[in-house]
Formats: sequence, C-alpha cells, structure tokens
Amino acid sequence: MKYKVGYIVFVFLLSVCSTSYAQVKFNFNGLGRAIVTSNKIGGETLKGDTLSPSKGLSGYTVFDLQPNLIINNNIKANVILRMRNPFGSFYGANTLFSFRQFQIMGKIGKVVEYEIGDIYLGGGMTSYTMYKPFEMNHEFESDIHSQRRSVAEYENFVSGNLWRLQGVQGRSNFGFNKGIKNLGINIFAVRTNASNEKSIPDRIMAGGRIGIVQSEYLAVGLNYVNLLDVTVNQDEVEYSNSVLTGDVKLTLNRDKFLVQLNGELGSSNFKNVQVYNDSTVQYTDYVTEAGIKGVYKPAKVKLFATYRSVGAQFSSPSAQTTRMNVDQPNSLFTRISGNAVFRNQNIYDRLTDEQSYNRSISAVLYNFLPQYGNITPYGDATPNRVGISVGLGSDTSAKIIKVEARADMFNEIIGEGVADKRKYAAYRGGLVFNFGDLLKINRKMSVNTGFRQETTTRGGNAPIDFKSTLIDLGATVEVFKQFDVLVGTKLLAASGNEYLSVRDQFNLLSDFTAYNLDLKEQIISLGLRLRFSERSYLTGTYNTSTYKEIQSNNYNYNINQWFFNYTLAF
Amino acid sequence: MNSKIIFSLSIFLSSLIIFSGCKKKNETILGPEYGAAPADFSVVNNKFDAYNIVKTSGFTSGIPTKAVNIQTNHQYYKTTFSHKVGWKLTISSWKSNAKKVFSGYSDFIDETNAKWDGGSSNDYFFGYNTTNDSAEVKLTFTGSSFYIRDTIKLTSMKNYHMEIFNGVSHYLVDDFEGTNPAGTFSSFYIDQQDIGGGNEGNNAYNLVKCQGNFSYKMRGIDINNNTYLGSCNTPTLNDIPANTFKETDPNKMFVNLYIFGTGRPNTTVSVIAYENDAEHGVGVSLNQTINDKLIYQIAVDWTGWKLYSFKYSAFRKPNSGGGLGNNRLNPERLSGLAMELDSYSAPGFDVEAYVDMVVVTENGTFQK
Repeated sequence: MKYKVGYIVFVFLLSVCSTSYAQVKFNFNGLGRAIVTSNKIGGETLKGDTLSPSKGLSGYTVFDLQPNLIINNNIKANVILRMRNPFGSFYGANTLFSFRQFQIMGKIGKVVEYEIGDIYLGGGMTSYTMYKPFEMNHEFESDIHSQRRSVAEYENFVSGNLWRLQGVQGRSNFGFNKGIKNLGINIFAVRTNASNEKSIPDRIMAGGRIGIVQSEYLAVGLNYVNLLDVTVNQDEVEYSNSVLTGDVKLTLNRDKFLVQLNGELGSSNFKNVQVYNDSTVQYTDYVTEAGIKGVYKPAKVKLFATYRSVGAQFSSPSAQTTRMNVDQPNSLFTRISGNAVFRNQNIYDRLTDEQSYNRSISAVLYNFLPQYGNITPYGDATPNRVGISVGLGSDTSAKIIKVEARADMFNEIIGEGVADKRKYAAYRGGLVFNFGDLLKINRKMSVNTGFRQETTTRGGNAPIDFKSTLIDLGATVEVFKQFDVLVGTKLLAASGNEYLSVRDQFNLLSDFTAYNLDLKEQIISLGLRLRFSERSYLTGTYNTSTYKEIQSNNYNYNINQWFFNYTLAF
Repeated sequence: MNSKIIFSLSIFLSSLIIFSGCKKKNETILGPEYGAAPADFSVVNNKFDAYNIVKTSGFTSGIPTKAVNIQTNHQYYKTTFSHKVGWKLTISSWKSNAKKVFSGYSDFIDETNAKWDGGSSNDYFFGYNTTNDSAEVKLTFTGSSFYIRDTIKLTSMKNYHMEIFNGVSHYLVDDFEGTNPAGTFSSFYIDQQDIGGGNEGNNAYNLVKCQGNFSYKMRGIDINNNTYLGSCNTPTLNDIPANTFKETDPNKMFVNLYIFGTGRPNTTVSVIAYENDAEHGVGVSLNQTINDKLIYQIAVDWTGWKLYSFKYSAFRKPNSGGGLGNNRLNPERLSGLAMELDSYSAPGFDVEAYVDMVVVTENGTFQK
C-alpha cells in the first residue's frame, strides 16, 4: 500500500514537473543480475536420509530500474522498480513486479537538506546510538567471498554501519566566524512497526545529532535516539527506550603526526508499561568510552587504545540490533534429518543467505551463536562489558599494504546467573597485499589473510571455557586484461562450553541454556571473473562448505555449490 | 593557539571527570542464579518421591499410585542433591501440550521451591479430557546430561471458578466443556445475509482447544460487507448472580480469554458486557433497553493461542444499541457476556477465531 501511494505521488510529480519545468533533468540508473546455482548436500547427517532434499537448482533474474527525477536542487525524487523472475519459469511466468525504493529529497531554503521515504540512518552518529554492528571479522576476507557477500548485502540494502528504514530525515550545517567554526544538525523520524489501529501502537524511532566543531582542536556532539510507541486507544503495551550520549574529540594535527583523544558518555532509559495490569518495568544504565589514536604520517602507521564500559542493562536497540538473524531458517537446504529438523546456520549461510539479515530494529536483543562472535555480538554497544582495545595498523592512505592488528580484553561488569564474571580476550587482524600496485603492472593482483581468535573463560560454580578461531585466506590474480582467477577459504574452529542467555519481553535475562560445541567449518571457493566495468561482471565459482560437529553425526554435512552471477550495473 | 589547546584540553578533562562520576549498579548477579553440576554430582539415594498436599486441609501424603488430583491437591517432589546446583523441573502433559517449568539453584527440591498447583507455564492447560491425561516429570541439571524422570496420571483439571490465586478472585464464565455454573454460551447467531460464506459457530469444537476438550469456534466470510458475522452470548444475559463481584473500580476488574488466531487478516473478536442496572431478578432475561451494554474489540492478529486480558475500564458504549442504563461502568453489576466475530477494520474478509476459558477476575489478571 505504502508503495502504491508512493508510486502515484512519483508519477504525479514526474508528469507535472516534466511539463512545467523546462530545466527538469531525468535519468536512469539501475542494476540487472542473473544468478544460477546448483546445490548439493551430503555427508554423515544425510546418509540414509531419503526425505530431506539433497540436490537443487535455483536462481533468479532481477532488474532494478531507478528513474531519477531532478527538478532542481530543491526537489529530487527516485524509485526503484524491480522485476524479479525466478529461475526456471518461462515466458515471464511468476515474474514479480514491485517497488523496491521510494525517495524524495532536496533542499529547503538552501539550508536544510531533507530526505523522505527509504533512507539510511546513522551517518555521523556513534556506535552506541545508531549503528549496524559488523557480524564477524570479514574485513580481510577474500575477494571471491566479499563479492558473494555483496549480493546478499545489495538485496538487504546494507551500506556499512547504516540502518535502512522508512521515514524522514533532515540535515543542516551552519558556519560561524566567531566562537565556533561549524554547527551541524541531523534529525530523523522513522516508523519501525505499524499499528493495527486497535491494540498495537505505531512504533517510531526519532532522534538526531548536534555536532559542534569549535576549532581544529575540539569537536563535541550530542546524540539522541528514542524508540517509542505512539499510544492508541486499546494498546496492550506502551514501550519507550531513549538513549542520550555526548561525545568529545580533541585533535592535534601536525605535518608528521596526528594525535586524537576522544570520549563518549551516555545513558539509556528503558520503559515498558503493560497497560492491562498497570505494571511497569523500567531501568537505566550507562555507557562510557575514552580513547586515544595516533598516526605517524611518514610511515602511514596508526595506533589506538580505547577504554569502554557498557552497563549491564544499557539498552540501545538502534545500535544493538544484530546484522544477522540466527533464528531465521536457512534458504538453502532448510531442513535435514528426514526433513524434520531445521538446519542450523553456518558460515556459508552467513556469507550467502539473502534471508538471514535483519531489516528492522528490535527492542529485545537477538540470539547469537558464540562461535561466530562471543565477545561483542552486539557491536561496541554490547551490554555488560568493560575493558580495553588496543591496536595498530596501516593508515587509510596506504594503498599497497593494508594491515591491522587488534586486541580486545573485556570482562563482564556483573555476573550473569552467577557471581563470577566472564573474561573475554580477542585477537584479530589481517593483511591485504596489492602486489599488482607494488609491481606497477596495472593488474588486479592481491593476496589477503584475516585472523580472529576469541576466548571466553569463567570460573566458579558454572565454569566456561570457549574458544573460536576464524582464518581467511585468498588471492585475486588478473591473468588477462579484466579476467581474474579468484580463490578463497574460510576456516572456523570452535570448541568448549558456554551458556546462552534467554531474554524476556523486557530485554531482561530470564534463563540460561547450556551450550557445548566442538565444531570445525570450512569453505573453499574457486572461481573466474570477467569484469566489464567496476560494477559489472560475470563470475562462475565453485564452493565447497563443510560443517562438522565432532562427536555428533547429527550435524556433519557438506554443501557443494556452483554459483554463476552476471551483474550489470549502470 | 595555545589558549585554544588549553581550552580544548580543559573541556576534554571535564568530560572525563563527568565520566568517572557516573552512577554504577550495585547488583551482583544478572538474571536467575544457577550453577553447573560438577563431575561427581549425584542425587542422594536416587530418591525422587512424589507427594500430595490437600489444598483445603494441608494434609501431606505420598503418592505411591502416581495418580494426582490437581483440582483438590497440590503436588511436589522431594529429593536431595550432593551439591548445590542449577535445576529445572519440567512437567509435560502427554495430550494437551501443557507444560509447567520450575527452576532453581539449590541442593534440594521440596514443597518450598517446586509446589505445583496444577497450573501451566504456557498457553495450554493440564487435565485434557478431565481424567485422561498423564504427564512426564523430568528433572534436569545445568551443565549435565544426567536427568531423572517420572510419570504421573492426572485425574482432574485445576479449578478456577470462585477460586482465589495470588490474591486474584476468578469467576469462570465458560470453558466450553458444558458444565459451567454461569451457563454456557449460546450457539452462534449468524448474520443471515452472510449465509453461504461458510459461516459457522461451534461451542463444542474439539479440534482446537487449549483447555479441556472443547473451545468455541467462530468462522465465516462477511459477504454483505457490514463487518458483522455473528455472535453468541450467555443464556439470558443475566446469568451471573448479583453480588458475585465485589469490585466497584473498573480498573481492578479484568476480562480474560484465550483466543486462537489463524492469521486471517481483519479478524476481530468483540467482547460485549451487560450490566444489570435495573436489578432484574436472577434468571430473568435482561432487558437490553434499560440496562447498559458495553463493547471491547480485540484485533486477533496473531497465530496460535494467546491469553488476552483487558481491564473492565476499557469497555466502551457501542455506537448504537448501547442500552439506557445508568451510563456508568459498574463492574459489580456485570450480569452476562456476549462474543461477536467481526471483519474489522476492513469489512468483507474471511475471518476466524477460537475462544476458550472466558474468566472474569478481580484484583488482577488471570493467574495460570
């Protein structure tokens, strides 16, 4: 319905404006993609299983056409019209037509930039207020895997750490000659849940940031996000969760070095009123961060150290909602064990499944799987953590070598279910070496490696000893002009015991489930890529993924997949 | 320039001072306390004995027959562990999907930490078909695959009518088993202009139920697009005797009912309350023109069973046919109830809902 209205408005604008304004500009861009996969699952778990599907051929063709209407600087509008045709249907049968995006944007009085419709939120805000946290350490994964991930990210409108929601946003910047240099204001309001007009209220999220650049040395900011219900006559629950933080940044930038001190302080306030019985659950908690960063410019090296304390009940849904939903059934070979058991999510699903991404903000923390990230599963804003992060790496201006190493050491602030607190340690890093640039042969040639190891320990009455290691290796070699050979592997090993938290509707811990795992996972991928331009290409890859829970044949399988992808972006 | 640096530093340091002055929590444990069973953990003498406590007298006895009357008795298990441990006692009905879970952190289980009154932890009730239910009792321990189990036979269902649980008084209007003191809801009066749309109501529907053997089924298509599909009511609308309810504050009385949603859009169940403002005698059909009629609409936008509770104060006069009583909410005068199936807010839809256990409570919501 919302898109029908949007479409009517858009067509109206298009027809009126194109006849009224001689200077109206109109252009198109878009993306066409055809994907074909051939899939096979096997292994101990599937032995003798005649009920679970073990082979499949699937895919789709999509064509996203984005007409852009630019009336002037004050009004611009665009939609993305999607045509999607599943693989194997002929003469256009089962083709789905939909509107994928609707946006109106522009400027009001040359001062305020506005956006209405499907908008990205979080630009300029902090990782405790509005932020989509990364799900694993895949910054250094191979080209063949990052390109595969980009398909799922495109389908889910993933853009870095920004959230994509529907609403309105305004931005403005004011320059000053005295006192301060610049004042920036960014405000937004979006709806995350629709009312049924009776008992379920609309849930909206509103907030923004005020940033002041006092001088080249000092910048301060104020961030605010409130997720709340707009009460209706017969609502069952009235929920609100506000987060307010202030941040300060002190910078000393000289020819040879840069030193930056930064800090952030804030609090969250959760309130849930159960209207029918007049009960209210309310709590407040705090977050503190202080850090230092130094860059030695001649060597293109940076160092950083950060102290972080996130309260046990710090609640910031727009910064704590996970990127992936581990409870979403997998698209590929959904069930195993006689077609009766949902197959658990593995790293190949996390890399490729378009359905496993969260698309909205959740008031309650999502479940997570410790083997894929146990220390900060909800990003920097993960509650109940105190500790430091230290690291070093190449500056962003380094082109030939990108390298980073980082250590995180955290403790729980309050024990969960026991007085003893978990202790966390993580070591991660990686390297990308562009030897094509080094040899100046104007060819895309690179190798990469990534590493992440996490340990979780706890003593006392309910001891924990859990360890996971993730390794990425890969290479890209342009053997002929714009024709690449791609290889990549991901190796994951996780073992030990943990206790998974169960949370109630008030986001409070209500139970714990023992979790024992001895797991080895592996993806090996090999492929060819023909590049037509930076964003247009044809790839053919073969991927073999193995999931093996030692001592359990229930979850011991492998998935082999041929994957062909023709993408044309314009 | 130096003054700017000094100013900036002073702002930064002030911020750090504020950081350090933040209030910290004093809690020592988050969530329910637990502890893992060590390798040498054991249940002392492997004893896991069941006991009954008669609700009225408090008399305690063992249950060698493993037959439990949850209408008249509380039930508990008694056992001792070699170590203090996190435990979970789960009672699962074999027939009704009902489940009751007790959990704790201790080196024993007895009536102080796991006394069962026959209620459940989920949306189903024990005692399917009154005397034909059995339950598995399973005791598990945190961090251990060791468990103890037992089986008991349930010879009754927990009674809620005119009972007080946790200070909340319960009045069972109808559980659709056909044995209620207040009389049962009538058969479904179908909107005659909707006939042909597969419309039906069934007050003894036994395929979907959360308690006992039956629920009340309402289903149909709103062919004439007037939102109304049909309704049912307690026999005379004056079926609850005067002085049954003591509560005069409409914010302290609640209507509770279990509703099963099937996901059909625009399904709305309207609960209609009748007040005996004219003080008719018991059994005299309520004259709707001289008494207040009140309505509350529930949008059934979920699938499966859900306990829905709302305050009496949420009732409103309907747009028409509200009756000419005293025009006030008088919970103590509640004399009868009706239920209506609507296609609302959009008319014309195929809608469906099942209702079970309609209970009016005072001083709180329904206590499972």
